[in-house]
Amino acid sequence: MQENQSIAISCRGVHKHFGDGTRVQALRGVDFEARLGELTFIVGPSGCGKTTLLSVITGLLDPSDGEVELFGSNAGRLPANQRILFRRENIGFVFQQFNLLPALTAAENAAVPLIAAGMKRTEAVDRAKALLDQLGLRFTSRGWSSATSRLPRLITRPGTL
Amino acid sequence: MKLVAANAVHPDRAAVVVTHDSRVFHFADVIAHMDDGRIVKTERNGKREIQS
Repeated sequence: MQENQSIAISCRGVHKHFGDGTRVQALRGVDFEARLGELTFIVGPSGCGKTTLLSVITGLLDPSDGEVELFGSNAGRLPANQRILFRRENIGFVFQQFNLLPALTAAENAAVPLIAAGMKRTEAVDRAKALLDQLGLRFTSRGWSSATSRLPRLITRPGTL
Repeated sequence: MKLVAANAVHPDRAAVVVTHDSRVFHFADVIAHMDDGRIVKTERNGKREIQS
């Protein structure tokens, strides 16, 4: 694999500010890359811009300036509906909070992204159960754990997590 | 973090973790340090702990 082909995320000169007048400069010209097959950490003190950067990378926030590319595409330039599809197909999120739906079983929670993508519910839940088994997490009740909350993000096999 | 490190990392996937918990830094391949809205240092971790 050539060097540039392994780059999944590329940020160049990314700025992000909030508000007008006494605006807050959250990102001040960030250059960042993340490569396929690697686990990249963004670290730093609270308020340094970590979460803002991740939100800009994943398209939850628009950059005020600069370029963000995922797999060579600038999703920010896509129409809103295509942007949503791009995010659903290419990006998975694991939140610090569990963000699980209490009315659903662990397998049903893990199956939500597949159902949202159009898969039949029974097929989606079966795949979720298989993934639970694969990870050694057998849940038959409505109990769950932080581990379960990670499954919805893994189950669609996104290119970016 | 062990679950993410063991299952999320894949040749066709880039995994990015945002944290300020230094106890998990050893799981990283690359650590990008931020301060005041900028990346101030990027380092490669040659001793990444791989869980199975």
